[in-house]
Amino acid sequence: MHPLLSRLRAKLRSLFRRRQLETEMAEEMRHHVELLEAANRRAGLPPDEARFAARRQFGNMASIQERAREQRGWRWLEQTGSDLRHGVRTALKNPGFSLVVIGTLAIGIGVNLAVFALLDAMFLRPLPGVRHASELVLLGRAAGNARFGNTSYSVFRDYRAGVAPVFSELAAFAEAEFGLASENRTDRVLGELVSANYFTTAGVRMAAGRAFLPEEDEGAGRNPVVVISFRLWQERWQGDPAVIGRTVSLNGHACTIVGVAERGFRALQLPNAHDIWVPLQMRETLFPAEPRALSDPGNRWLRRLVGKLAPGVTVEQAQEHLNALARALQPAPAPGERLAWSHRLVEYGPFPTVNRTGPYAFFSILLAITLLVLGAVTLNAANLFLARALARRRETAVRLALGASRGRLVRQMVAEGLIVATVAAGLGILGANTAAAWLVGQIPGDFGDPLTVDLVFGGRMAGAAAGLAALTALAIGLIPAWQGLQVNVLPALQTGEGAQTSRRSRLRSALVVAQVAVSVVLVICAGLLARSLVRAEAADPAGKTAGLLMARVEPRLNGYADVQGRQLFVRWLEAVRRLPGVERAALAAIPPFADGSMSTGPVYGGDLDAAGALSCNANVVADGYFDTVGLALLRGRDFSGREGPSEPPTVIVNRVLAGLLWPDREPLGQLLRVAGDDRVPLLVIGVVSEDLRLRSSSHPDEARPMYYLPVGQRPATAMSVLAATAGDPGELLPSIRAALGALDGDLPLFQVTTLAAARERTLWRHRAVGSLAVFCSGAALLLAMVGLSAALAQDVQRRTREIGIRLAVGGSARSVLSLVVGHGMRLATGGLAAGLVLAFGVARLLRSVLIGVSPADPLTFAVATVVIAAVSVAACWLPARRAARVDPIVALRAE
Amino acid sequence: MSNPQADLLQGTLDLLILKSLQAEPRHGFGIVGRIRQLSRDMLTVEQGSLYPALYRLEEQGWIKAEWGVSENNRKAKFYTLTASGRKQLAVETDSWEKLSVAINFVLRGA
Repeated sequence: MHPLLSRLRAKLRSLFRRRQLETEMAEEMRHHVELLEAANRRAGLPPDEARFAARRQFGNMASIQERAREQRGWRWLEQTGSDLRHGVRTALKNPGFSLVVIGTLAIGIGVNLAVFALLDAMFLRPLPGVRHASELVLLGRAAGNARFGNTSYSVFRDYRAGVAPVFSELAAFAEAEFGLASENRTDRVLGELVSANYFTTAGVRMAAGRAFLPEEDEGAGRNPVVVISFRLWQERWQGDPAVIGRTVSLNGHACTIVGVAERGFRALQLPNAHDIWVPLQMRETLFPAEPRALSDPGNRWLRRLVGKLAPGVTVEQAQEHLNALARALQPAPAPGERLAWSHRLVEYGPFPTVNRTGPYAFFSILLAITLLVLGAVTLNAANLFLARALARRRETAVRLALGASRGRLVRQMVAEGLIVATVAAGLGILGANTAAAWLVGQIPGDFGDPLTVDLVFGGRMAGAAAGLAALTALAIGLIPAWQGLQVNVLPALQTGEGAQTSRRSRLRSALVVAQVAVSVVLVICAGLLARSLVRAEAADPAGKTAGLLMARVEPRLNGYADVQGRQLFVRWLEAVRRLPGVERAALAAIPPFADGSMSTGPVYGGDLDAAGALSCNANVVADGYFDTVGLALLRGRDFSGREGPSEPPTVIVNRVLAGLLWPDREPLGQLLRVAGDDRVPLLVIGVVSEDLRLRSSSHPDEARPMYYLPVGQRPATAMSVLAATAGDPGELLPSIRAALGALDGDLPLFQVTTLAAARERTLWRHRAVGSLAVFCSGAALLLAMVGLSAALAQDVQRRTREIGIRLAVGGSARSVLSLVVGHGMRLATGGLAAGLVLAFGVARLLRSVLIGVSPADPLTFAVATVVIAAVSVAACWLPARRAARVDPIVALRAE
Repeated sequence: MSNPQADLLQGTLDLLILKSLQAEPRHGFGIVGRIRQLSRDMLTVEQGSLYPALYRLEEQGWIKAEWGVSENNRKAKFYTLTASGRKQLAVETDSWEKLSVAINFVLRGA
């Protein structure tokens, strides 16, 4: 037999016939001792002495056997098996201890996995249905400050003719709301207007029917065909295959369903989730009220372009080609000037890549919090394991004396940590599912609808869970092993003591200090976030948000043209104002706290000329809006409600805009001009206070310039009715719905909410991070205090004799009390100091979710310091009281 | 080893064990005795080193163990030199001799 083969056979034999080999080895050595004994007797020793001498001569049989075993077979494999079994036995022997460690670790691992799951779903994995994601790129318009914005149909058309060498496909999409009527039911459905190659570009397949045909890109209004989502197909038609070819009414127009997109596909980009797709050329038919032509170069209604790179073309090459195209499509810039516009190209990802800063900041905050929690629970587990290892010094000494190697004991500790951490990771995955679903629920999606994210707990999550479990296992196995094994065998056997007292308690102290520090950081973060939420609540002007109901209608969803749409709104508003219980009512295109914003283009006038035009938000409102939402009319008058398209256009500006354009003049009677709009300038008839609810996310405290246009002089697009009542705003809904039903029974009412609920929604980031931080800081603080208390208790127990002597020689209970509390508070103060420094750094991460509170807010830091100091004193008190109650006589007799 | 020769070079014990088995199979106690006898009582192998070494050599395939009956009429494990063990003994003897010659040159040359 080949030597290697025979070695392998020997190894396998030793693995599977371990018991037999063990017996044989014991037998062999016993035989050896017998022969030694016989030799001793021959040398003339009496029988008993001969036997003892033989044992002495042979040496420590267990130790020799252990060393002999090391030479044989896959020792490490056998040992790992037995280490794991030992770990399970130990864990089962102390169910309470194990449950605490597993439970806390599961929380720590679970919250991290939840955030990973969300990160995975939102940034890493292509959305369901999207194929060849690595070849896809997104194109957004870059001009001036806008780095990645909407683009126009005319540019899409021009690009499409010229990108052939670098893109194999170029598609376009634009979100839209549709009124879908079929089987006597009208629903508002979110969808997209798309180019015919949209599905083929993204690699999306059809579950039934077909995708759009290339010719369906041509001829305005000529191809009334739609593709619906798998979800809509199941929900509305129970997956009936006969839905293909069926005619439905879309915004009042008959359209034919030609296809069902594959299961899971809802959009190319988060946070969108769509149910219906219509060719781009159907826009003017389905949205007759749109004022500007589909191919008007200034009408940038396309959300993004999506391109599929031709084989072998890099993103950089494609970008250069695109820049060349952009140069060819516009007049050459003056020397030293840049191109007026171009298109930026980014690799495809589920989240718009250029605008990732917002989500990135959010996720780095979440991750920072959850990693701190993992740190806290790991330190806690290491602390508990260390305490147990110290309590077991005698056992350790016995095992060392019986021939166990120190390396083996370390492996056993790590194995035990691994078992605990693995169970915790398993539980953590279960918990992470719930926690991630909760987090997703906090994130608003498109048009105020809930975000749809597919959380998939696949290989990547399992990997993350395994990694976290391994890391924690190492930490909670090695830290205690490092100190728990520094045992001098002989003294430990004699007294149960043996390790160097000072060094041992120093490591434990370090763990407690670290625990306190981590909890300080988390408490301060939670405090800052809580304070920020309180500030946000207080920002409500005049407290008028309590009883305000908002409900939205889009007249185009039932095919209304401009004039009829305006009439519908006017009559609906009149009806709502007459309802019992309604005190004030108004209309607004952008209701307070809405996600979206509206702007008609940069404005100028007064001190600013066309070149310095200012980008600024707008809103379309009915008369009574300012009174209804609690904004003060500072000068001039409100809209009359009788404004019409033929009368001179009027505008109301806010104080910020008035101050920028007419800093030292009377703004009333001035003219406001909108860049790119040749119509008559707008006459300023009023000035209102700033609306603090429309904040920029980068400067949350800064009021922004803004102007308001009257309903009667703008195209009739979606508007929300706002109805104020003294009572419960929810009770108004049936009558408001009935008032609309009396005008048009087929128009869906959507985004029904109260102002208070809408505000809650805008605070989702703050609330999600805040709730997480409060939960995590509570858990970390509790663990840190339990850790502190337990460390002191063990210390007191170890020093019972010393304390007894102190009391016996006349020390007062009070001095003992202050001895223990003083020791505990030194640890707590160390942790507090380290934590405050750390928190100062970590809190800066929070900047993007803090409203009106500085990350270094002195009040929060002070309160957190006081709270943690107070809780620490409480944590020290329990062991200190036990120390003070030590009976000197009992303590001294105990040994 | 408990004698002045305690610091024998690594691998020397393996050589001694292989050599002690050259003539006939022996059990552990017999190997200790044989080595002492051959070394004229100058070398005593301790059990703590002997058994790990035996298992190691068996693992290498140089010796193999069989159960037999010992001189005191008891079941005992006898170790036999295998074919590759004989080759190994030759190789190790050769290199040991070269080494000791070299060391002697060094010591005398001084």
